[in-house]
Amino acid sequence: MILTFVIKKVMNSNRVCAFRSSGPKGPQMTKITTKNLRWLAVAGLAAAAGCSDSKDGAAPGGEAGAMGSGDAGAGGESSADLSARSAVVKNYASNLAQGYADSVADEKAFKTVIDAFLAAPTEATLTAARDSWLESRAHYMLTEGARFYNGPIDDDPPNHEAVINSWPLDEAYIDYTTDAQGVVDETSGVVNNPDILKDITFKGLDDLNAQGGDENISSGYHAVEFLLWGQALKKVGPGERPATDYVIGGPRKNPDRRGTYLGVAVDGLISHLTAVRDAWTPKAKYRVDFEADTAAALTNMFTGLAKFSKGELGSERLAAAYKSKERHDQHDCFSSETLVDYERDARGIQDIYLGNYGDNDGPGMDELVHAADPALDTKLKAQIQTSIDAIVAIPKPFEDAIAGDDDSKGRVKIKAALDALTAQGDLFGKAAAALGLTIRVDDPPEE
Amino acid sequence: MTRCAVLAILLLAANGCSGGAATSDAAVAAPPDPKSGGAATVLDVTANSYSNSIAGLSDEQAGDFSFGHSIFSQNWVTAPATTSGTDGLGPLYNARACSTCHSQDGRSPPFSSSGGLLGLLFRLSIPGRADNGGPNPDPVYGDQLRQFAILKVPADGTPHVAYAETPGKYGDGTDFSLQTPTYNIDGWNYGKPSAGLMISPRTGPSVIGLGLLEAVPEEEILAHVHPPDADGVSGVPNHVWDAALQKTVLGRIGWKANQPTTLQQTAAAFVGDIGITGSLFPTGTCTSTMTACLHAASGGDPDFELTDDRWKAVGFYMKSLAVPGRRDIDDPRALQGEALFQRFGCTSCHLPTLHTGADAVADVLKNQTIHPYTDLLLHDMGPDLADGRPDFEATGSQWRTTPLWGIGLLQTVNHHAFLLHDGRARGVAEAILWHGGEAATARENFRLADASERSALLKFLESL
Repeated sequence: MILTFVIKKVMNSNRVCAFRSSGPKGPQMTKITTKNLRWLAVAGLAAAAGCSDSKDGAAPGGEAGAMGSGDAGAGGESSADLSARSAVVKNYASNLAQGYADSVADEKAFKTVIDAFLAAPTEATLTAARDSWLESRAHYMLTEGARFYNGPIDDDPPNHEAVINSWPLDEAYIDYTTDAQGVVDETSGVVNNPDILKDITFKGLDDLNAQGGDENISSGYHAVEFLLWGQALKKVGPGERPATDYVIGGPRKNPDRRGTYLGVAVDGLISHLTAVRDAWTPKAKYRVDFEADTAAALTNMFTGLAKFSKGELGSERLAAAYKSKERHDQHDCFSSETLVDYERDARGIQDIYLGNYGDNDGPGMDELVHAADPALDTKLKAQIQTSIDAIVAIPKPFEDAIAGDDDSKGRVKIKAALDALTAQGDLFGKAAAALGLTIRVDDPPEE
Repeated sequence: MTRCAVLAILLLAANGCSGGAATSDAAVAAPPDPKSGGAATVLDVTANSYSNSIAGLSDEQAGDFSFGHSIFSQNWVTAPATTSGTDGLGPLYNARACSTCHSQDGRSPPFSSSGGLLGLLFRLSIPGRADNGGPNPDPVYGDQLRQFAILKVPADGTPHVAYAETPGKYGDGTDFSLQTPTYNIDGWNYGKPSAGLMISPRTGPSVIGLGLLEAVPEEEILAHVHPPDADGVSGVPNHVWDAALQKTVLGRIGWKANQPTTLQQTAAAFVGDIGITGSLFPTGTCTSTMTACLHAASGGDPDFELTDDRWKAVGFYMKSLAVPGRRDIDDPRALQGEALFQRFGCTSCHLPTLHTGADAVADVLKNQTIHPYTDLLLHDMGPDLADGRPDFEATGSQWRTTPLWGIGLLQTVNHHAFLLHDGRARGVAEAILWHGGEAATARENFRLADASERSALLKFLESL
């Protein structure tokens, strides 16, 4: 009761606060003193302004900053609450650390398949390599709900994510291409131009890329995907790169350099994933700081889930394609396995919210939300399942589903999925507010 | 009717009728308006403060805003690509994405952390005028240096920037130092440029509030046009080519008010900076001697590289970015600074208040009282800032008054404080000290003021 009084007093002082998430240090408060903020009527920001002068209690315990102090009294939390929150944060960090560790292991296992393929490139070993590529992303996709709070995955610099999973990819920068008329240009790309880059190494690629601007367009999972599948030239279906692209004396030039590029791209993935994994190991500074500031950690955790649901998966990956109607406006455009990955992403969000990973069913964020607002937790869980079901219901492949009129089955299903993910993102914002945290669901990620 | 009489009718205030001593501090005694962009204002002091949408968008408009944002921040790639909606980069280019130079809808620093050019590019021209009245492009290099190109196509050349420190003193004896840039381009890959080549360095400005500036009626802008007054301040409009209307119209966007509309500016930047053609500018920028450039594949087949849908979405996105609200409206120091801003004569050009009309892309942009701190007119800024390159009716020493709304959040959004057209100023004080020409009197008023007044003025600007 006393704690409620404290919060009310704070609110009556007409302070309006906003903060930006700043990694492990958490929210930085900036106070504005102004008496009339009725014109603050933008959707999203309204939800974000948790420390507004609202008297309707829309944002209970709105002073997120006060909780950042870790002082039980200031934040309106009992020590039991704090202990529960801390357990959730620790379980999240532990699961995420395992997710990145598994991603590194996946990539190393994948490398052995790639080595086998490069040692004996046949259609059979190529198929094995493709299958292994898809498998190698299984754990990584489950971690994507932990982006967008400047954690180890996407803090910039070094922005590992941009090297690991950037899209779209510059195909002609890497290898030969085929135009719309079917004319092959075997002179394009680093693979076919030793004069541009004599030795294909990860540093060499990085330096060359920097000469054309700072953006990463030639490395990561999708570079590997392109090197295994090739361009998707048909309206529907994956690329059809033949294994002979890697056969010395085969029909395409520079099979050895292509093979080198493929190996280097996988090594680069291993290296960057390892750096992210290491930042989440139990004794690493990031992990220690993350677990030490429970309020900041929870703010980041909800921010990641909300932004990944709404801004990234819902908007960037589904709504943008829905608007453009471009068949290959999809992240796995070469393999045509986009919907597999989007489903994994959605299930990863569910796992993170529930505190699950693999066989571990630890204390989840859902338990905190349930304690604060059981109905909201029920609604959010149902919404997450709705999103998963909506993605599963999109008929494969994506490039077929996206085309046509808005009342075609595929587009109706895609629209349902993006709407579900949008609603889900907003619910994560409400869930955070129920815990007294302020998150900004609608801010675009920093570029 | 005199200029001030017109103004008095329009504004019902003495703001802008400079005349120095005639204006008293009382004119700003009323509580300041935190709504810098009227109803198109959002209170936000975070790194995201330039990236909010205006309120009141319909579902369809909100969808366009998101789509526009997606395109604004997306990298373009070499054609032909599987992602045919995003290919056609270059062949010559300055950046792969809009957001490369307009990071977080703000202004990227001139140089990246690794030292390469980031938010800075170089306009080129030779003496004379193009048929449309604009700058006369170099016959080989066109009107812009592209320091990057896709693989196997030579870039235009290599720009070099060097700075020399130029010391100065405030009136109270305090030292300051300005960095004076020199620009040099070498490594020309297509032969020497024409004799008399003129180079204009320009950084990408923030893109907030464009929908409001575009909605200010032409009559209101022209009402501030005037010959030099007692302080030597004048105000002249630029008249530029509207490629859609195929006629010369008032310019209002860009460092020299050299573009008429956000949509045209967007299309020009796509083709000039990224090498992406569209329906307004369907021709690429390779000239006749650039063999590899001419033979490179173009993207977007069978449509333009930038479809009209995407172009309009990006245009709508920028026009519906909200303006961050003013802070510290009851801070006495900021209020003192606001009064000084007027007394020093800054408001002669950095006009505090304009009004939008009924013609705009969204309701909250219409009929608003806004505080952009610009008159959207050209002013001679003196030889030190001159680029020596005319741009339509703008001379080589004229620049459009830069809007100041949001300037206090630049550090938060873009993590730097490089200001002016080429980013030479390291913070607001240096930017003021670079002012010359028509602004020399105002600059001297600032330079000769005591430290307390100078810091109050800066405090005011930080609140915008």
